[in-house]
Amino acid sequence: MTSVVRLALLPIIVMIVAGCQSVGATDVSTGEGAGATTPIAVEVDVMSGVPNPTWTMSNSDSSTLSGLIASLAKGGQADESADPGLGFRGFILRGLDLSALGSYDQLKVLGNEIIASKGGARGVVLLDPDRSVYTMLRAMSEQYLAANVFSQIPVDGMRGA
Amino acid sequence: MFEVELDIFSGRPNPRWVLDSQEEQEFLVRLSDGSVPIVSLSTVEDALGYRGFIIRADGATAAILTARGLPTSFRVRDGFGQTLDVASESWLLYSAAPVGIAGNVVAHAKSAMGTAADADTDAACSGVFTSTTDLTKWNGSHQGSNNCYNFASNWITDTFAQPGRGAGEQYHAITAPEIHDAAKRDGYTDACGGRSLMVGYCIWPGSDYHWYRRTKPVDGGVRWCHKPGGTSARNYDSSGKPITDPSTCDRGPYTIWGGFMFWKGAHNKSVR
Repeated sequence: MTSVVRLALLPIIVMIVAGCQSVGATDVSTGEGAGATTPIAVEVDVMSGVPNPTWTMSNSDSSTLSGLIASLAKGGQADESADPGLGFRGFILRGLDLSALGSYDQLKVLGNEIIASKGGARGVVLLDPDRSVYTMLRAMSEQYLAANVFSQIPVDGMRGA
Repeated sequence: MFEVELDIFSGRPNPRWVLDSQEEQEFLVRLSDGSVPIVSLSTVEDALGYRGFIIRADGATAAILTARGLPTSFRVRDGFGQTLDVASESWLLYSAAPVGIAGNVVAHAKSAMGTAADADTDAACSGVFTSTTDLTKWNGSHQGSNNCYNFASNWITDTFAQPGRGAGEQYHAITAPEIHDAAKRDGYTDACGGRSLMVGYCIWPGSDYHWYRRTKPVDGGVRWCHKPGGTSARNYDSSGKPITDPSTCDRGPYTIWGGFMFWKGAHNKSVR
């Protein structure tokens, strides 16, 4: 390869490397606020017969939410308390990198508690005393839900959570 | 007190006897368990010879039956439905031992018990009841992909089954009539005929539907279970209370009760 070709390739190589570096992992645990470029999928766990409403957050909102979650402290292992059954049961978040918490694949946002889980098995609890994550999700959900469904989502989170 | 009548003769009076206290308790358990094929007194086979047993309860026994939602007078005869289980009839025939029914009469009754009855009016209705307390089949790896309709149908599809979809026409709106008609397309009926799943449905107006299924009695009492969406199957309502009647239990936002329906058999494999 001639020196001219090598020089011509150099900007391309630089751009490729820069592009790779800009794709940061969504690291919930580090608290470094790495930022999310993987959109977070949200599921409102509220229905019984029909599938639950779902949507995918924008990159910007995903980054904001990931930052909030990354700042939360752990609160021990979740107990096996029963969900309330019919009606609103929480927000389910997928698409986050939860590897630092354990082998979990989703978070369930109940209010001031967020529970990591996989395959229905509950794991570690994250504490959100200000309900910052819940409040953001509740506000966001209004545009995606019918009014009578949105009205089922309590303002202050679920009882006991 | 339970009086038992062996309906077998034409010209002579049928044999009658009363169950003793131990037999009465056992029969109450069998009735509460849904394992006795009950039909109305008016259901009669057009046949000479064995036509089942007629049961009449009075006094405190009748009060117990009434409290459990059971009739106080009924006929016991299997064979009207899909399955033929002569256990209850054999047990009743055995209870006649002290009466001393002629051997050839007993032999004929035993023989006739193993054949299907031949009446299609008011066909035998009895429940196919799975456990109220062991719901592990629904709460493991299949939990998230099966919903209330799967549970009511006692059939795991991993498709989050929808009423009517298996028949090629899903419901068109979330209303009680639409859900009812879609379920009928899946084979559910409004009347019970034979050994059947007993289910009920309700509506969250404009948003969703939910189904329940009757399960085995607990402590002699009627029980129902349900499965809210992809969450766990359970035997309590939204207030944490055991469900004895889904039409009156706490159903959260599912405020409209649709009704009860039946599927003849143990699994509605039509649902998708």
